[in-house]
Amino acid sequence: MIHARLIVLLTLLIAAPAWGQSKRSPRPKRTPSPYRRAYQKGVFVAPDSTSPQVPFVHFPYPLGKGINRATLGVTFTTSPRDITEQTQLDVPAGDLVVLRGLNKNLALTGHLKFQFIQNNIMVGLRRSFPIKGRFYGSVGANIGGWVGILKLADFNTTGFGTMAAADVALGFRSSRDLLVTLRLETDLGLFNRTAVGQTVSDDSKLATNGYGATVTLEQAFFGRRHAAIGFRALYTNFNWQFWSLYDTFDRNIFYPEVFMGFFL
Amino acid sequence: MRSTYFRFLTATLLVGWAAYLGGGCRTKYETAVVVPQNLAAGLNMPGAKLLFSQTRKACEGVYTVSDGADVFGNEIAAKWSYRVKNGTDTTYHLSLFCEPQGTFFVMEGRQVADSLLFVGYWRRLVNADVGTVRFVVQRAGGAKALLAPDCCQALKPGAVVFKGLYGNGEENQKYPLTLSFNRMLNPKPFQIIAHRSGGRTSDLLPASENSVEIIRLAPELGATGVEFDIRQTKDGVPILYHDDQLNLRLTQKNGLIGAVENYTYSQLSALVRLVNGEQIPTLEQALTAVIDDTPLQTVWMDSKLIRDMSLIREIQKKYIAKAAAQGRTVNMYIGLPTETTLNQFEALPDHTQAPSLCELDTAIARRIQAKVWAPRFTLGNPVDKAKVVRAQGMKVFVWTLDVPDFIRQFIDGNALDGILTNYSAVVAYYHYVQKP
Repeated sequence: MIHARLIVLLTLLIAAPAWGQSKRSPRPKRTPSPYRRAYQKGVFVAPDSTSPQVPFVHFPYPLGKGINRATLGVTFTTSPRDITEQTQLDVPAGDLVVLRGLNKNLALTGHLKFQFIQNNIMVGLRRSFPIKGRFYGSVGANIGGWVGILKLADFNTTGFGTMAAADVALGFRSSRDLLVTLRLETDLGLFNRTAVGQTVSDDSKLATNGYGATVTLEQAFFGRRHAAIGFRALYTNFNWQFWSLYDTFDRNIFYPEVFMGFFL
Repeated sequence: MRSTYFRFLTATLLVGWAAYLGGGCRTKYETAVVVPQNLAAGLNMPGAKLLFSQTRKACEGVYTVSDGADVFGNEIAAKWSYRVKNGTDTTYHLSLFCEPQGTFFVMEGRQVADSLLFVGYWRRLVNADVGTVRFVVQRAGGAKALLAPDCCQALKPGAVVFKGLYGNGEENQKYPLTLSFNRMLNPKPFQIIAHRSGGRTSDLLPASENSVEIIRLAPELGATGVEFDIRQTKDGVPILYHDDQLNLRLTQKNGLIGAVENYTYSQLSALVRLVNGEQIPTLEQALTAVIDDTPLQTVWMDSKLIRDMSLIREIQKKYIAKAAAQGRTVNMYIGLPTETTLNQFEALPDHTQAPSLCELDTAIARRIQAKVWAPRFTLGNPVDKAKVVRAQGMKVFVWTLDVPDFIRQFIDGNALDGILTNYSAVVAYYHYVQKP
């Protein structure tokens, strides 16, 4: 049932902006805003004339060498009832996404999600390429880890782990520079260690944690303040945000995630 | 500008809708795992006889797995339990507990000619894997010794061999599984206390948590005790229910909202069914099931929200006496998880005589003369404190421990008298295979 909903949802999210483009008459040209002019002069702009005129970190567009892009925002994940039962622990996490061009097609990616007592960082490489017309694609690989320290009230627990992820993305750039990105990913668990008091448990088996799909929209949503908003559907056996609940299920659980980031 | 706002609004609505679809509306679990049914039919062949109690007892032990070790681990612990239906119909089950993924088997056994036949199902608690199994112990494979009138002296390793086949799901049994007796079960007294009366609904068990049906199932899952969550209805009836609200996590759709405390027991029994169709039981129904229908030895009555502690105490006294009248020793503890319930308990005139279980500090446990001190497992294995507390005559249970690696280490620490768990089968495995 969830899968069917996801397919419908993702289709709608991708189709809606394109539908909006085709039905509406072209917007009259207007003078570029001061922000945009400044932005075009800055380090965020890709060096060719066909590049999107909005900054991006999720969109799979080739990025020139030395160009940096970053967003800072928040991500919200609902806690799954399988694990948290009647208690809903919906604590937002800070979300920093960084992109740096290494050469014409290759970029270094960094992604930090932080809640201070538990944090997750991933770094990786992304190779982007044009597909046809307004469509672009990318493949990426990431490696990283999580760490958590929970020492309060009835908890004396610590944990850390390493993980890897691979993703492919398809991007569509509309005539109004709305950047729509669909990214499919699979997560791999490498190693986890948790401790309660002096008792330590290691889990070092290499296993696919799960998979996910993300739809991201990048545009000047807030007037002329550029932002990225998106929805991530993660279907996984391990989510670092819930490590301290010691879920023992050997089955994938659905984690919906909504995120928003403002370009720095 | 208007277009930008329109698109922003559209996107926001879509994302909001996505979040709603993804998280907000999933308020219940997947359906319970259906274990293969009607397996006993394969047992009731002409000439099949029930097993003698000494034969059953002799089957218990730790077995080495040869065929099938890659799936079920190198060792299996075998333990009998029973369930009584309608007050008279007793069924004995041989449960096998394995290390990987909380796997357990539940079987019934018969004597057929000079062999023993066992038929049943297996399930992994951590996921939805199930299957069927069938074992035969042939005369030359130990049945002769097990069926002997003077059965049984201590068996030697290899003296009994279960030769069997198992299948996945409802498919035919085609994979070999062979068990050879290795040694006796760990004889050390230890309480394996099943959370929520037997197990959580989220583990997709065939009975709902905190129901009479799951109490009856608990011994087959490896439990020697159960933990209940007690609340009181509007008219004061103590019932078993965990959450502070009626919700689809625990109950079928019924139209009632709010806390169970807002409804009378007759309203709840008429209008509310737990997720697998059972009624919300009263505390007295649950204790009756423990005493009359199971071999359970421990009851942890967790006081979730109690208005009348003296009533709980009266019920406790009544059922301790009922168990004693039947020749049963069932330790029934009033669980005290908070300062509020502690104050209610201390207001009882005879609270120092009432068996209680204190989740708070050891000093409080001593003050109220609790029988059990029960710290949370996330504080670590309380080896040092447990030594002190046990020297003062208290038992130590930790809660709620499900991670197999932690369970193994906590048991190996030899500092505990019991573990409260959602995975009784895992605790049973690590306890029974431990070498004294």
